[in-house]
Amino acid sequence: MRSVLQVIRHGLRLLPLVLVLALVVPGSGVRPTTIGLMKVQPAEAYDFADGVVWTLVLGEDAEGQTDLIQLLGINFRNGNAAAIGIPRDSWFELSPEVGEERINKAYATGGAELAADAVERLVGIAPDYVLVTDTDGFLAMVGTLGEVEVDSEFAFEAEDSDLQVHRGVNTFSPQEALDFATTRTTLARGDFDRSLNHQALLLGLLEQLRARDDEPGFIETLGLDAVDGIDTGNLSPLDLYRLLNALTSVDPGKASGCIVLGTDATSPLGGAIVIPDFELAQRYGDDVRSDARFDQDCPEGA
Amino acid sequence: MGPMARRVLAGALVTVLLVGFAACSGDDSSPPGPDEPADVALQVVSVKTGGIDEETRTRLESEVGDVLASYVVEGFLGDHPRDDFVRALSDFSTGLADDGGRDLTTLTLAETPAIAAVRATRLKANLAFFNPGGDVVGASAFVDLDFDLTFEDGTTRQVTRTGRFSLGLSDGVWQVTGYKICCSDPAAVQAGTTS
Repeated sequence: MRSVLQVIRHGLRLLPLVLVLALVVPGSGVRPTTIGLMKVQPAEAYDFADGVVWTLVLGEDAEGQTDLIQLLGINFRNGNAAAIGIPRDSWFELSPEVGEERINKAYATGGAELAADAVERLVGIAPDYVLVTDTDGFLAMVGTLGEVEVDSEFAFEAEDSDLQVHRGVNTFSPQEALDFATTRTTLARGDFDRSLNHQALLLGLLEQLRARDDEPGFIETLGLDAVDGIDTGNLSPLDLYRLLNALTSVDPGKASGCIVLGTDATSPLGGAIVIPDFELAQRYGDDVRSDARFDQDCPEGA
Repeated sequence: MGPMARRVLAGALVTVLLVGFAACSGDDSSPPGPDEPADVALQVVSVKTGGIDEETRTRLESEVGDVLASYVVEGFLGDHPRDDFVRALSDFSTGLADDGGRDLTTLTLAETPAIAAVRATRLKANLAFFNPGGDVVGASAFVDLDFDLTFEDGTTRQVTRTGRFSLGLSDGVWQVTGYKICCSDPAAVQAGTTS
């Protein structure tokens, strides 16, 4: 604040000199017209972070496994947002102590710290925050957001419900949004496609947040839902509130995402796993780390 | 959205508050004479929030109202011409001050030339408080601000600012931590200049 005041005051001290020059310099003697036109532009800014903030978003199921794993980067300087989706069956060394395991067990095994460390090992970006929500928390927050429009890349029938998802824009109730997010077996590429669906859902939620942020009490109600329904880790309630406010400045048109592809394999215990493409994951991290913007296109299917 | 409890602060009280702020802004302005229309009072209302009793809500409305009143006085009112609009950012958080300086033209009357006088004709603020666990730590203030500007050539124009301020309460001090503000007519606000 002080620096701004000093700069502006310094500028104001120069104002008389500028005015004198305006009168003396040839050509400046033309007096202004009676009515000038001054444009006033919309102004929007939030004090949350200076630059890119990385948040690991985890969706926890009833067994404590996190089947939604998205690393979100938001550049609060320019409204860019980038998401890196990590399929739940990605199998690699989560930490030297834990060894190899599916990433969707990291949170249940070692909490937010292990989940964040594992993602950093894979992508090369250390999350600033970890937000974990369960089914109830998700339903409460989406309930406050209201019906959400999701642009689905796929047409499919949801698991365990009558929901028919159309390719293109779908309007989902909170329960339908949950069904959309949890469906895996009816998708052609299983968890890879589900991770893409998660990104489509997050984008729809972001658009809904922006659409309703001018309703008095909306951000506050959503914040209370978030406090109740999210394990916010090291984020204080005030910081969470400020983050929610800052999220309203993210431009959905500047949001993009890719998912970490991998090779199907079998775990030592015989379960289906995916060996993630580490080179691709690291490439994503290098690409978006500083600006939350994908400069390279995602590979086919990612 | 829950029912709204319309709570209007006493006009005289807030008018006094505004005049008081203006007097503190460093000029030698005096209250309007008997024939001059006075600035309207800042009306502060709030969305009913569970866990906040009436007494607390009145106090919170007053606290946030003070921040907004200071912003209005320093950003728009007072004696003109003047060039100290940056004072309107005095309650902005440190991390927001640079943004506020960049957007000073929208947030205040800075760079609107040849203003002779400004009168507030509508000052409304609708607040919503964020109180996780019963402790208020933040608020949104939806503002609706109208001013009549008189320019040095005698012409007049109405200027409007609407939008939302985000505020945080830390160590008992309210600070503005965000804003989304514009004008009713973003295409253009006409401003008079002397000929």
